[in-house]
Amino acid sequence: MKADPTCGKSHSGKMYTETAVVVDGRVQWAFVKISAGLEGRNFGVPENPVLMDQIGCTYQPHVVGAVTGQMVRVTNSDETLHNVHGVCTANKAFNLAMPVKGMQHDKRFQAAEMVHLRCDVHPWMSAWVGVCENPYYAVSGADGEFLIRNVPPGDYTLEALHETFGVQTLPITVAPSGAVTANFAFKAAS
Amino acid sequence: MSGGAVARAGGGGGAGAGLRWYSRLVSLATLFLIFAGGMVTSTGSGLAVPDWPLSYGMLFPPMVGGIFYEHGHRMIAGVVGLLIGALAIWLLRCESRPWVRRIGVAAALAVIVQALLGGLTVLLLLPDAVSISHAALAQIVFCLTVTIAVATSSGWRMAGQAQGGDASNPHLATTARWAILSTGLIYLQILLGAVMRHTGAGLAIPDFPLSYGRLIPASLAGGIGIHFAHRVGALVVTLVVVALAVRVMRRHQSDGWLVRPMWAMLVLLTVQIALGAATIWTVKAPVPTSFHVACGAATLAMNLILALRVSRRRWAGALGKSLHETRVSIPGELAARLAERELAHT
Repeated sequence: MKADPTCGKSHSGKMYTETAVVVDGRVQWAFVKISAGLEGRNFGVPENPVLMDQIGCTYQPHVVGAVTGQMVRVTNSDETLHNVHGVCTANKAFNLAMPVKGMQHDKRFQAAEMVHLRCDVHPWMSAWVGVCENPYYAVSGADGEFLIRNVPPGDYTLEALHETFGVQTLPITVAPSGAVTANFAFKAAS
Repeated sequence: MSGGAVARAGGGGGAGAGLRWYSRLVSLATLFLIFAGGMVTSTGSGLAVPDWPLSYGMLFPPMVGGIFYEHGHRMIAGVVGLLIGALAIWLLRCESRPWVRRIGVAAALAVIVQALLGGLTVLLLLPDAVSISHAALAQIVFCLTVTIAVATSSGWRMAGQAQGGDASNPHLATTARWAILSTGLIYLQILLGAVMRHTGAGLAIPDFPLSYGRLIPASLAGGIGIHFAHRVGALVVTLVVVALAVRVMRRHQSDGWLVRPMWAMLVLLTVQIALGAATIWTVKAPVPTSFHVACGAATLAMNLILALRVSRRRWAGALGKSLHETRVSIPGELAARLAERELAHT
């Protein structure tokens, strides 16, 4: 943080990355999605953009989800320069300058994957965009819980991805009415 | 022969001394640029400035975070480019030897290509091939500046006059071949290091001197293979450099012009191995890693200097021998004038 005075001013105490946030055994920032069972269905593209902010020399939120083709808007809310560097394999990688406060870049990802956003000026800044072909995804909160609403009835594979703890999958069946509970248990990284 | 002609031959006048020191300055500046470039990669700042040739649309962006390394590298490169350009012009105006002038021009052209590669690597988001090419050409530019510094040195001129050493030493030819081999191997090792670095294999083997606790890792898949090849390359280079040093000590021990770079070569090689270990043990901390890059370049340069000097001794000895054979039938004054003219072109 000391590498940029603006960043240092934003935080008085110690700062930690969000690569592994676990409180009382509950994992935050796991990206949970339906990875199988919805093939061939067209869900349209939401018009509202997914928002990602560069604020206090951090990306907030750390993990977001978006549907393929949906706009992801990255904003620089800091008084310092950032770049937004998208590390992709299925989509085209990019690296865009954001030198001015208030500046925004809009991106649309056409292929499903976990896109890693970095800032090369401030190497601790990191975020993820979980791009999916359907709108049934969620991000676990500080309590480790996630909620995916309005899933059509059927048999699916539910997948939970975490940048440090890896991937877990569970088969689930969603009845015409009622809720389904799924619990993922990650192992500590070695 | 006029005083002007002596100056053009680099015969020790003011311009000669000035050019000598300037060419050394350019070499050192280029080495510093290689270190600065190493810091860019070592700190992960290669894309901290997304645009080129401007930086965030500016000539002088705020030097914060990764921008300090990336834009700093660009600024140093700009200065070094100007220094090399000025050196090339100086050589074109004042250097009588065509081959030295050509090397100056080659260095100037190479640094322009290097700048373009640097821009491309940023605009194309650091593709491995471009990044590795940028690293490889940097070493060549450095070697060109070192060659100019050697060729304009007073030692080079004295060696051409068969002064200060035994130009008739019959072992010079073989020593020259060893020195050229050593230089080539070091360059290949540097290339391998660049491949390792830019493909993310720098820590593919996390321990040193063993590899996953073994002499040879159980698997050579992917980055492990590349990394291990660099370690094997280091061993090969060490063996060849030590063999060369032993040869110089045994066959040329009275020739300080050759012995001094030999010792410098051994010291640099030792430091380079230590820095390689430090790179692993510090988990690629930027400073030792970047010094490892720069020390590699310095080791290459020192081998090149030795190779050039040995070759110089060898050809000066051969020329002296041929002149001695021809002097039997050519009047002494004419032979001396012919010798001066020939030596001015070497």
